[in-house]
Amino acid sequence: MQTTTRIKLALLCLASIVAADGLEAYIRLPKVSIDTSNAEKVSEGAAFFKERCFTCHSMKYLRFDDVSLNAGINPKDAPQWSKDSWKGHPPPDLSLVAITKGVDWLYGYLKGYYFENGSYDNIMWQNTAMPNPYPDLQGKQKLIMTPEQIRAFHPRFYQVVKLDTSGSISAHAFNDKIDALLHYLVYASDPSVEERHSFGPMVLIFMMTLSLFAFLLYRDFYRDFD
Amino acid sequence: MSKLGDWLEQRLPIAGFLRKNLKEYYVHSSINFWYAMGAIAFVMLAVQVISGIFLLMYYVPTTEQAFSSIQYMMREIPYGWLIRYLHVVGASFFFIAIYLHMFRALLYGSYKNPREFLWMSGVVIYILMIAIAYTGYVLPWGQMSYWATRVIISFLTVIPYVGDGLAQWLQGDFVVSSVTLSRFFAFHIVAFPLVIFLFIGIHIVALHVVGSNNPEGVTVNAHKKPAKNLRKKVIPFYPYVISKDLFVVFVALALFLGVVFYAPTFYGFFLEHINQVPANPMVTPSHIHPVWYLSPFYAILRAVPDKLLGVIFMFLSLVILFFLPWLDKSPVKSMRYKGRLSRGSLCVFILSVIMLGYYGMVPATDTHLFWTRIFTVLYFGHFVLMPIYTRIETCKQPPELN
Ligand code: HEC
Ligand code: HEM
Repeated sequence: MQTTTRIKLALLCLASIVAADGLEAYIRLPKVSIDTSNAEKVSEGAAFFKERCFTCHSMKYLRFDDVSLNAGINPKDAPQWSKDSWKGHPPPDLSLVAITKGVDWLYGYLKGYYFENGSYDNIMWQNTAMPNPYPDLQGKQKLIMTPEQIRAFHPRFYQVVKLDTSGSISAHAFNDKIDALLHYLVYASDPSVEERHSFGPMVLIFMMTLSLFAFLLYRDFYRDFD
Repeated sequence: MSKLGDWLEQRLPIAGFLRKNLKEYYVHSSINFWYAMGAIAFVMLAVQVISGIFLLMYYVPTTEQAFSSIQYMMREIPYGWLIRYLHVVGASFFFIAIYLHMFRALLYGSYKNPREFLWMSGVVIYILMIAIAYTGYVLPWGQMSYWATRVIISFLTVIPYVGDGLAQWLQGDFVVSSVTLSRFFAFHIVAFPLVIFLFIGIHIVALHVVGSNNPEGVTVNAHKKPAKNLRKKVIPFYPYVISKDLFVVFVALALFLGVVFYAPTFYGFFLEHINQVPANPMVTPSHIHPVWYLSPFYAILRAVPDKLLGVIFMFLSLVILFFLPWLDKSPVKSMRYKGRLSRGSLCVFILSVIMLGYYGMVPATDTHLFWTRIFTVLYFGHFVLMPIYTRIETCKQPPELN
């Protein structure tokens, strides 16, 4: 690489150009909080993932994860895509997506498909290469704000899209499915949570007891100077 | 003691060594909790070494496997996640302890005569820590590992004459590649740690030669048993100070483990979200920045409009620390007795480090750059103006030991 190219690269990074024109920057997403200790929800989400997502997306770091294997999500059976498939945008691995993209964004992306001019697009990622995975379940949403309005008003997510024609399950049931899916994706991004939270209290109580004894010892020694 | 003990003691005087350096090492009783940060740093170093050894058993230093080997370790090896989180959170805690440790030195003038050498050994340790942290950051081969390396190396190329050669020598290749990774791996796990151990040894020896400073700034003979009337003011390290250190270390460990168990990525500050994406040379992240503990320097690098000058100022911001003992012309050591100007300048300095840390992590917009420049000036101002304000201010009279 030429020095000039390198400098340009550095400058480019400095300028830190944020994707300029995406509408997603103007939409306020709800704060989604997911509690992965809800094992039922996690496996429900795994089943839904197997049914609707595993045809395209892998979960390659979950080779020996019981929840995934029980749902039939086995990295050995995951689809393989070459770099230039999907016009250069093959479906990425989703093992860590809940960390890298954040749950709030996932919520918006997974619920963000709307129907316009005979095709689906996503409000959180315009022209995404991912086809709507569940038009049958969700039904058709439509955009109820123009892009100009979105840029001007910084609306909340639910103010932007609205269900137009309902799908095969109720809006409520569909929300439950997405909620379960998010549980699974969050779980997959860090399956250590359960172990951490079960040992955590013991470890902390132990450390605090040690600290207490050390404190008493310290008090005792320093009494020499009272 | 026993015959065997005596025999060994005559040949390897461990007990004598410990007695001399712990029981017969005297410090002033005003020594407070700030003085436990060195002990915490020690413990964090041990945590890094031990967790690092375990990481080494599973980590594969190739561009293909680095990222996934860590993921597999975290998910498939019993307590693999613990090993990694200990190391990642440990790095941040190590820096927290060291920053507090250094702040203590600024607060009580511990860098001043006769501790100049001790202070300088500390600055060397700090620079080595930066080198270790940076090379370690590259190892998981995530997006930020890769791109931060590219940006940093691209900055080196602006150095006249040697820049390109230096960059190539560092990367071991014409671009950042698997050769770079192996090289940084060797630096991170062997080269730099060996040197840092050496300097920590030097640091402790230097400390014990001149003795510990204290918040009151009074001179204490560290190796002489105090006279009867001073027994409450001059106390042996063992058992008094060490019991305080022990307490503080346990509290720090409790906090540390709390983060490890309940917020190991610390909201993306200790383990950044973007670095959980495997390195991809084809996709530039929209926003490149270093981890929190290095970001003040990155901010300074960006603040200077000229690339070469930016690199120079970044190095100067570290190198200037070496000269601190000679920039401070104050007759007293501790902030408790220094004047308003010194205190004010220290506050402004700490504020500017924190703000530079912030601006190093956010995108460089025009307003951000404007403030980054202001705080860069304030950062250097603290040092450059020190010979002046420490001379003209009026100090309080520090106490004498009696
Ligand atoms: C027909 C194939 C297909 C199916 C089925 C599918 N996706 Fe995708 N998905 C893609 C493609 C292609 C992309 C890449 C989008 C792009 O780059 O524009 C993608 C991208 C994503 C992303 C963004 C990831 C990132 O890091 O950028 C997420 C999240 C995602 N999909 C989730 C899902 C979920 C959850 C399901 C199941 C409900 C699902 N996908 C079903 C093809 C699919
Ligand atoms: C691995 C990193 C380090 C370790 C393990 C370490 C350890 C210690 C220990 C145990 C002490 C005595 C206890 C105390 O005063 O806290 C000490 C003192 C000191 N250290 Fe460090 N240190 C480290 C890094 C540094 C750095 C980076 C600096 C400054 C740039 C520094 C400057 C000093 C000074 C000035 C003292 C004397 C303080 C006084 O007497 O008031 N150290 N160090």
